[in-house]
Amino acid sequence: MHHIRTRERNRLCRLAKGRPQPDPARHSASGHTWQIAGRDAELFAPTDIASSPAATASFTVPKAFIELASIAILHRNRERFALLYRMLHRLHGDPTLLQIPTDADLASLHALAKAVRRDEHKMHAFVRFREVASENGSHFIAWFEPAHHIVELAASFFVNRFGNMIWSILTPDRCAHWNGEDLLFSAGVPKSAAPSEDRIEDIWRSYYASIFNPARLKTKAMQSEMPKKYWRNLPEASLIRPLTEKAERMKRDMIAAAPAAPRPVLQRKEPTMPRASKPETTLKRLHAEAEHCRACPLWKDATQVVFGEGPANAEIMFVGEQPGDKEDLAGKPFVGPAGQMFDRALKEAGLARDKTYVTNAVKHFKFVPRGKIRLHQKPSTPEIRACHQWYEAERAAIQPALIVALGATAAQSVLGKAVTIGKVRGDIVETPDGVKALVTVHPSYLLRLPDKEAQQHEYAKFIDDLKIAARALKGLAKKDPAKKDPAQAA
Amino acid sequence: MVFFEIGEIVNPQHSMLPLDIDPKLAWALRNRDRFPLDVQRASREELLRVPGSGTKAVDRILAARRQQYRSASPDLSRLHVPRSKALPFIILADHRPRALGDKDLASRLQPPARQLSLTL
Repeated sequence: MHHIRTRERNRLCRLAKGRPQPDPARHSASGHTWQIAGRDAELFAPTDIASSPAATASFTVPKAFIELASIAILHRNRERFALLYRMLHRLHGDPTLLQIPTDADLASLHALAKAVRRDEHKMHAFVRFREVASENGSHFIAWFEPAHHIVELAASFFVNRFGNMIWSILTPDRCAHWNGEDLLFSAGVPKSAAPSEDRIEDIWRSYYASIFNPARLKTKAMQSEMPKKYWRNLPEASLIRPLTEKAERMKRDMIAAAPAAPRPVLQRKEPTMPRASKPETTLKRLHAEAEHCRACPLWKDATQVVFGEGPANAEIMFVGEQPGDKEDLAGKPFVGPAGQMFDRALKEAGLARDKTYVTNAVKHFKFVPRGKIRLHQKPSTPEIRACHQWYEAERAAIQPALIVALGATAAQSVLGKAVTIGKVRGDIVETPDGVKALVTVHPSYLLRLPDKEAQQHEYAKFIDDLKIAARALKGLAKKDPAKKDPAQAA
Repeated sequence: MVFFEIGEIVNPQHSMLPLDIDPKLAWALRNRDRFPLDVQRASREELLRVPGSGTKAVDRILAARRQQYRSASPDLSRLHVPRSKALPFIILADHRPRALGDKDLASRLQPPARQLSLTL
């Protein structure tokens, strides 16, 4: 039985710290020696060391040496004890030894530790459990043959990974058992004690075979990551040879086989890049796309999207706040009470509704239910921003000479910033894109005024604003000969 | 090359990199007057110019030197520095180079000729 007890590792630390603690059970006479349990100490065979002055002397070594030695001592190399004693002895004389990376002993010690860590890493990867029924559920048992004495070192990984399973890892040197609460170690067992193959292994093998890519066969890289010494306990390893041998033919077959078209249901329709199309078709397409807009949550409660309306060659574009109750049901903008008032005002100002494009800054109705009615709610800034893309697309398609923003929300969307209506009202301003714009009140504001007199006064002011827009439009249309009616141009 | 100046490796006289040996070795062969370097005394910048050495090996040599350790030729393999490349250019505790003045040093440092594949 070759195994290093945890006690041995602990003793190493104690020894290195220079606090000898004799273990009366096994080391009453031999003091503190590193050895393989069940065997005589390889170095310093039991002699009367305890009574010698060295046993009571105390000295310290760097912490890094303890860490390094506790890993390196797990190596199966028979020289490890001699090397460790030599290092310990040399460290006693020269505590800076660990800072000399070119030292031969230190390099050997690092090489041992590296081999142990690599073996530990491989154990994490190559332990394969087999399920065995037991009185309290499933017991997962694995057989593994580590290259070094690493079972205790590697076991905590499996506790973290498979903490809710009951498992045992059997090895020739040492076995680890996890019962869900405690990690226990027992003496090693022969391979015959491990369970034979279970039904999962066929599934595992077919998975392994199906993920094998013959065109990516790299046997050297595979063998450096998965050394052959581990193969005999890996269920999938039996497939390595047949798959490797078949790889060349499989690759040729793959190349020879005509590329198969994916099944129609799997074929995704890629949205085609919008071509430079007529503004009418662009607007129609935009309207269809906006019906599926989920950029903000307003679509959930609204009946439908209320997109802009009007001729695609309109020179003036009116932007309202958002559809109201009537508009939401009709699917058309400006059809409710405010829309009727807007129509009247347009006529009085000398603008024809059928030559203007009307839309809203937000395309879905936002409301709170109050009994039977749906009470209008002002859209929030994120909602205005989310809907801005549609306004932008409409503006780009129509390319109006003048944009009239009705109310604060529309002004925010058109001008890209929040403005006070009272300050900018009736002025021709420029949007960030360089289009002329005019800001005025929303017609629904006029309807909400309680005082009839005030309502008339405000209505007159609204008409004045629209007249300014109409006058500005005449000037702009003359200055901009490029903007022509496509019907006339054709 | 962080430890060479622009123009040291490639310059109007040597406008092409050599095909058979590495650029650092070629530079060392051209500038033999700067060698041999005593590893025990040379600066980090000088050590970095030794053919076959790299930052990792040099830092380890310097770490050992700080502990009054004199590097010897067996240390080179532990530092993964090719002995054949580095030994002609450095002085170690157990080594003094003698071939630095030899005319055929460059040809000795070249990799052995290799038969190309005969298949078409």
